[in-house]
Amino acid sequence: MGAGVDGRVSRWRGVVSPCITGASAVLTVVLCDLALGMLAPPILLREVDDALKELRNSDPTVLVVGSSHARSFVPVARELEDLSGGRQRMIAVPVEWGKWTSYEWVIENRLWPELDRKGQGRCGPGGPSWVLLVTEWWDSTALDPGTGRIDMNLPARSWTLVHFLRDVAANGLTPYNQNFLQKVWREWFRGSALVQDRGLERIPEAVKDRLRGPEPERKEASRRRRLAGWRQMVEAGEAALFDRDQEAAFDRIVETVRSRGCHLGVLLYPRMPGTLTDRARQGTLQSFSRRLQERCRRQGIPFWDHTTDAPLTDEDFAEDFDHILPEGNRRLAHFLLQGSLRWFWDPAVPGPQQEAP
Amino acid sequence: MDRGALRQRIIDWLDDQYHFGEAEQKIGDDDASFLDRGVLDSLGFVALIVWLEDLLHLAIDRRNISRENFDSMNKILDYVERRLAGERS
Amino acid sequence: MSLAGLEMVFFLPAVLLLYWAGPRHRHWQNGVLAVASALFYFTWSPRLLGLLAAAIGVSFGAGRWLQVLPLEGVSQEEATVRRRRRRWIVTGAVLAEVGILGVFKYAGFFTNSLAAILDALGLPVSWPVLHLALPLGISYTTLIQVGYLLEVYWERTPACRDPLAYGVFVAFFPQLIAGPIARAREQLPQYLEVRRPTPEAVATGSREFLLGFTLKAFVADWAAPHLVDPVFQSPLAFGAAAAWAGLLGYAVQLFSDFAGYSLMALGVGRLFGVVLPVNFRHPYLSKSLAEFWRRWHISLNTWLFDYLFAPLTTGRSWFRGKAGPAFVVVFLVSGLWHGPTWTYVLWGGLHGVALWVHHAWDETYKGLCRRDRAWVARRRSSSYLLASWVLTQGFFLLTLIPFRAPNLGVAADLVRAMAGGGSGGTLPEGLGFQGAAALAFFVAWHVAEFRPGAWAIGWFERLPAPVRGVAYGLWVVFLAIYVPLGAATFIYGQF
Repeated sequence: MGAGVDGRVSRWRGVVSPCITGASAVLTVVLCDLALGMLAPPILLREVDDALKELRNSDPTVLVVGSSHARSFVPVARELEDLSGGRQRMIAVPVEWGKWTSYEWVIENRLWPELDRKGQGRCGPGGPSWVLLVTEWWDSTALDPGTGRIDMNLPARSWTLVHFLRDVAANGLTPYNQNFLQKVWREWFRGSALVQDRGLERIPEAVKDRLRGPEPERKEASRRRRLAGWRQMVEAGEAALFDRDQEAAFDRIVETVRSRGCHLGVLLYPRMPGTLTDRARQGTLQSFSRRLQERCRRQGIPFWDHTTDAPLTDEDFAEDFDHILPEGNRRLAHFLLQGSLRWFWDPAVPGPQQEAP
Repeated sequence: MDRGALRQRIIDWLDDQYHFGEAEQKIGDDDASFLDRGVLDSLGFVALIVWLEDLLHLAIDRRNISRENFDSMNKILDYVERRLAGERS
Repeated sequence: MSLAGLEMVFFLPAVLLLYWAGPRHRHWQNGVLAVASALFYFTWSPRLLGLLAAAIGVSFGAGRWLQVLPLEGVSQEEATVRRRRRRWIVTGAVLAEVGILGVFKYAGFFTNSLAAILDALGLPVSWPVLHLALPLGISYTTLIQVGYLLEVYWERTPACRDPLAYGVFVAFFPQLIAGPIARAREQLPQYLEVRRPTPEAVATGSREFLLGFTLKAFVADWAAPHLVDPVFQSPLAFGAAAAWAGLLGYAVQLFSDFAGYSLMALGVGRLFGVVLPVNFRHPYLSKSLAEFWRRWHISLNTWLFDYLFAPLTTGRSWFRGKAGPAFVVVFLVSGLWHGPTWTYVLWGGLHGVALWVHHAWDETYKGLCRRDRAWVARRRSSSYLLASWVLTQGFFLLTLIPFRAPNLGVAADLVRAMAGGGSGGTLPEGLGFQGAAALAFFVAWHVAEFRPGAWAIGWFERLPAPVRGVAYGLWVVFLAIYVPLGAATFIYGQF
């Protein structure tokens, strides 16, 4: 009988001990996550899906499509709605790491179907009448500029499960379509600092700051190194402008937007002044702007180049040299809505000249 | 060759090839695994098979080369006895 | 899919749930594993899934056929007829299996090499170059099936009657990309029985998965871009120290990547109640090459030993009793198995010859031992052991040059750089915290084999369960911070 009891006890221990270990491991991860979340709060970025949710619940007059830069148009939308007394409603559709091929994909496969569902198959009253394409030179370069890798480019983030499965069935699981899984994973754990941070290294940086103090010298050195690389990339970009696939995608965007009866406008996004060498300004940026402007002129598309003329300084840009911080963003919104885009809300200002779509 | 004599030949061979006088001690127990006790490694087993075949003039079928037949002193002796008995009958 | 990829977060729990929540029946369990394995393979090469299925069909059918032609209990004449027929069956099936591998993996290599030879002889030829996609993992499934066929042919194991169980035995997804190479006698019986979950298996499996993941995704994937890739890309740009660091880094990467993935496969197998064979036992502690190959990719090397080396050296051919030449044959095959390039052939040849040399030295040394027992003691002295370790590991390290170099030219460049003939560049970044932690883990992994390591592990195991849980939790947090999503592809996947 004693052996029976012993057997039961050891079996009980055999089950319970791993369970306790597992539970305490999970608890540790959760607590660490919460603590690290206080040090470096997770950043939740607006994605295509967020824009679609808005589109489902409202009737915008302007759709802003662009890469992550389109996120800058959330404050623009807010201000525009105020200024126009609610007549103009703008929705920003940011396609992370997007290029012209990705924008075309999102327009065709996500925006139009959603509008069709709402019975807004044509642009005009009740639906959007303008599509504003926010872009820059990078968007016209090949999907795999020099690296041969397309996994860096992430329109897969704007997919639905059906798109994902279809792509896996055709190509197998690739680094490219794995971006969809990454999106789902991040959505499932929106509040988790660890899940949101994986690979961004904000947490180790925050921990280092806490342990060693802010270390301005180390940060400055690292910043200088990255800045040099960034400048070099912009300068070298000239050779890669207007990739054939991207150019074709641009033309198809023009075509599809117009076939729906919408107006298309093209706006070049501001760049951080400190990242632009003379060579970059006169080379990559000028070539890109001229060629695209010429293209738009031929096709009767309004074109605004704000690459260098927005009232922004280096301090208005984030550590990545690419994205504008909230304060700068408010200034940019004001600048655009009092300037190039004033006609959106001010009836006294004539709209841009363009050919009838 | 009787069982005792064959055992001695195997010990001599192990001493000559690998253990230089310590084979008996290394084996310890005639039922213990040669592999586990480090008496022979896989290369050694192959050499043992070739040596046994040549010594006893018999061909060991590949299907019989396994741990079940060769991985201890007693297993080897049992196998050889079975084989020799089978050949005679 | 890869066991170390983000997709496992979705895939593994779903499969485990279906597997354990469904009926406790082997057909259900094997069915779930078969579908999961097919999906796993499908995500690598959708079009070639049929090829794997066909190969499995051939080996299964041939096994059944051999089974209905037993040699026991029939007349002498009938046995002779059957023996001949059995030989035909096994030869045909093995050729079919190896043929599939040959066409997909080696056709291009042989036609190109033949063209180069003819060209050198002044007979230029031009034929369409073969560009066939190599079905991933087929190198492994081929060996599993050939091993099975030989076991059944030699009547060491009965042929499997259950096609579903057999299919899972060949293509169980954890072992599909990088082994371990399953063996009929150990693996097949497991799939013929109902598997039941045990807490120990779950605990051990999870721990193995975590350890394997750390080796692969943290250590190997750090070493590759920081030490190895830059040096092997343009060796002559570096000074001697950086070149050596690149080569040592590759040794760290290769082991961590491969042993790590194998360990993860073992862990995942255990979560399904399946015990897979151990594939690595600290090869970098070996003190002879023969020992090294008993500890490195164990399932491949025991396969080569059992089905190539042993039949060669115990058969009636010229190779009988000649271990040295047989080593060369076995390692040339091993080199070619690793990949259809001359650098792999060179690598295999070097190891074959080195094993031969070591074997000859061993024979000579035995002669000394027979004459004077003092030599036996000398061989056990720490200086002899240290010298053996240095020689063994040094040789393995140097043979990694052709193994990793994309071609013989780069291999030669690296040798030049290691001798100081490069232009003296240094590696761009220092170790940093992450590199130091990765290398520390690698060293700790090996120290664990010694007494202090074993003591530390024992001490940890005796800690109260919640405390161990906290340690595992912190470990997971550490990995979550430092191992970015979508870690690099697995090195051995290419073989």
